Amino acid sequence: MNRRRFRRATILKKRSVEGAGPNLTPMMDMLVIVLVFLLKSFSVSYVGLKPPADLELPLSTSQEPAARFLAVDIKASGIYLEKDLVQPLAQFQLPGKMERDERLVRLYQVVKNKIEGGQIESTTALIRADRETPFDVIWRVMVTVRQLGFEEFQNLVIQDI
Amino acid sequence: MAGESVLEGLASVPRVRNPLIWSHVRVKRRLRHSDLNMTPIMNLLVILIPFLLVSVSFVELAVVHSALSEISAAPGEELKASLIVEITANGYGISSRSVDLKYLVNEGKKRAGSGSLTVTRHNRLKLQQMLRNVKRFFPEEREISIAPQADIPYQLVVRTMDAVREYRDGKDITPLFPNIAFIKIRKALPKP
Repeated sequence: MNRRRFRRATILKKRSVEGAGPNLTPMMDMLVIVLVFLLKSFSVSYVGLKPPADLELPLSTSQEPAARFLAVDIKASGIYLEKDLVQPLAQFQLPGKMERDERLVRLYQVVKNKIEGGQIESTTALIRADRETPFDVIWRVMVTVRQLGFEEFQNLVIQDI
Repeated sequence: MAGESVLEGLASVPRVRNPLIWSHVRVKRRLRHSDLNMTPIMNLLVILIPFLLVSVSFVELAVVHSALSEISAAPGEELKASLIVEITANGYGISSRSVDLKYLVNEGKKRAGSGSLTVTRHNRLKLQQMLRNVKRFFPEEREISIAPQADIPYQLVVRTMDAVREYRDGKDITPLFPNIAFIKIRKALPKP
């Protein structure tokens, strides 16, 4: 009789151990909430617009949506065209010999090559400049690009309302 | 007695299980005991969430339009404001190419001249207040030129652009001078 009871108890124990996995329901609930939140915040329109990590955009009250154009990045280390270094800077300062020339020759040449190669069609330039950039550098970039037919400039900013 | 004999007769009949009924019962039992297989959904979520976390942007990006100045007042044209906001290390200077702004703000009348206004310490609220005053006299005017000095940081330029572009009162937005262009003022060298 005792042996029978023992066997029965062993079987029941085995069954309960087999059936008791980790309870995934709370984890699923959490993941679904996180997924919905992320999907809501995910914006396809900013793909390709995100500035490099070492570039701190200025804050602005503008709510105008951003679009993808020829992107000129201005960082402390240099001026980049579509992520390629075009003009090195030393803490936002242009090399001494360039002080007097308003046009940035290397930037001008690279953009010109791209236009001639049919890689650029629009006449709008997107300026992604660090918030500490002195205006002189931005001015020179604008003047240079404008000489190649770029009429409009969009300054990328972080919304701050 | 007759009933008893019938029952005895039934007891002697071998019990046959209907296979159709029994398969149905088995399926029902299986369904009752089996849980939904969550593994594929979990796999999907575990892949999807890191992907979204990497690509999600928690900051809202926007753009501020600008151009390089081409404003030029044709002779004989109606008196236009053609405003210029100069950003210097000390503050703002507001001037017009054709209107005496000082007279306009003080007397409330338009007249040709070169009187300008100044705002110290980059007080954007004060700058905006002055521009709203000017806007009252030139409601159709939308252009403004901004002339920052060479070493003015970009953040201050953008904030100034915000101030001259529109006036916000809660949810109400009143446009001031949304067409912004940059100019560079070259100071005339002192005569020897």
